[in-house]
Amino acid sequence: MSTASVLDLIEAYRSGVLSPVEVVSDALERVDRQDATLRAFLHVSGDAALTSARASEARWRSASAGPLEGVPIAHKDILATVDAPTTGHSRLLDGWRSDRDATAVARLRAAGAVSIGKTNLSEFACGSMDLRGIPRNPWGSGIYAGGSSGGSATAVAAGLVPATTGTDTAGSIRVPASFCGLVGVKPTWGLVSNDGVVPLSWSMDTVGPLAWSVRDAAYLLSLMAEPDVYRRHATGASLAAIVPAVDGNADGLRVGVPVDHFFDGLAAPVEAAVRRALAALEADGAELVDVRLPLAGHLAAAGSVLVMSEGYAVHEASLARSAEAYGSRTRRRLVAGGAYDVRDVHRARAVAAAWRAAFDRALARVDVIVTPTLPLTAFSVERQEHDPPDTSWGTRHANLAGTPAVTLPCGLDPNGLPIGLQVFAPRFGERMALHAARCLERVIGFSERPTLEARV
Amino acid sequence: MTRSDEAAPASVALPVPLSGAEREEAERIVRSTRLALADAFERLGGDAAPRVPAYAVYEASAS
Repeated sequence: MSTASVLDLIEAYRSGVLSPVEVVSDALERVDRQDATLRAFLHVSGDAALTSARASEARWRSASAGPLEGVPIAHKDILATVDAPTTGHSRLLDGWRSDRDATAVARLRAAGAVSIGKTNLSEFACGSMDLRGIPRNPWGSGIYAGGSSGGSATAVAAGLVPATTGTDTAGSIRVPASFCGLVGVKPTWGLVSNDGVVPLSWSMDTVGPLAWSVRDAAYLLSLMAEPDVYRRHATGASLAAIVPAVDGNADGLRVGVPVDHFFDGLAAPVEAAVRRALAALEADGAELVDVRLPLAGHLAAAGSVLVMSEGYAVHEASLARSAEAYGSRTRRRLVAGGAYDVRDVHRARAVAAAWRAAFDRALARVDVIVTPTLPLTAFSVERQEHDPPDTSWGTRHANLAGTPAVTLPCGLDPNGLPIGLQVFAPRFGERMALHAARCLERVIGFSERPTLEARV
Repeated sequence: MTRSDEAAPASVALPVPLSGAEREEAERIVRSTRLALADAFERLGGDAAPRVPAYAVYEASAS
């Protein structure tokens, strides 16, 4: 059960091989047994989850099951949920309960998903992890799971739940998904509603799924996203069409491969795995096309100014009243965000606008652009605490442009740590991004899972 | 005034008082970000460059 995919579970429920109460009980038992070490969860909704599971079983028996009926899901603790506190991993929101679900949560709940709890994250998606500690990567002892949706990634990679939700403002779904060997989707900005999400950056926050497979991630995205928004912007297509469209071969797929930034300074195993994947995709029928993106390596500052100045605006009043209640890293990052002046923001917006135009031009020449997700694999928790590298190195590009991006695993490094590959597509090009990701997933054939010994 | 001076003034005005190592780190973040931002902005042509007009995005999408 712990390695069953979302779609596997639905089929098992339909055939009667498994029941929601069995699966949810098993998930809760594994969380109880393993999470003291993993630190994936901030809150576990034991009784509420079992009540939901029993209701799901009744709906399966009465042939009124929804598309996600009885599947255990956990939500990043920055999305409001009615059946669990929403804390943002911060003392400031300790014990706060929303009277309604975030829209993305509500959509999954209406589809029948059983929420088993709230996952660990960097405070307010940008800072410290002081209260519960840093989530552990199930692929190695003492290894960082990534952030800010680290708990969401750990929960899936450890086999606690088959899928989770996360948020991505500069890579916060894709980085932990890459570090933990998962598929993670950052959708087009605005495709999945941000209503009910504690904001960091209004102009770049997105909500998306983390799962083991591209099909699972596509299925969840089709249920989380706003159907009218997709229909208006994706030439009349429906969200449901995303799921079958991911299959098929790569014949005629035009894949842009950047010659700037994304292949500079890669760890040798990362470059080797990504190049192998691209070669396999080409053998499957894709056409690889060089694309120039000279601004790609010069966006970190613009991204920081825009995200953190918007984040400061969200927290300005709280910082004035209760700065001491924030974690140290959160406090200094947000306060730095408030120090940027009009000229800084003007320059950052100019750089972001130029990048957006350049990225759109590049994406107009191909179907997708494929890059490594990160130049390295996961590192130690100690390094994350004292000297973290720039993990938005390969991911901020889609946030600044508002475009979708999918990460998927393409191999393991010599230490057994996952390597991530990323697919970029134009805005509202989720169908193409997921199709290309599925082609890559098929030709790569990644099926490894962390061992039990590495998990605890 | 050099571009470096203009981009990274000696003092950084933090909106919330911080002390010790936190203040130094926040100031360091702002200074280094401003330097990198000035470099990126200059790559576009700086203040002399025309801003990207909105229609260019749509033209790029149609090409």
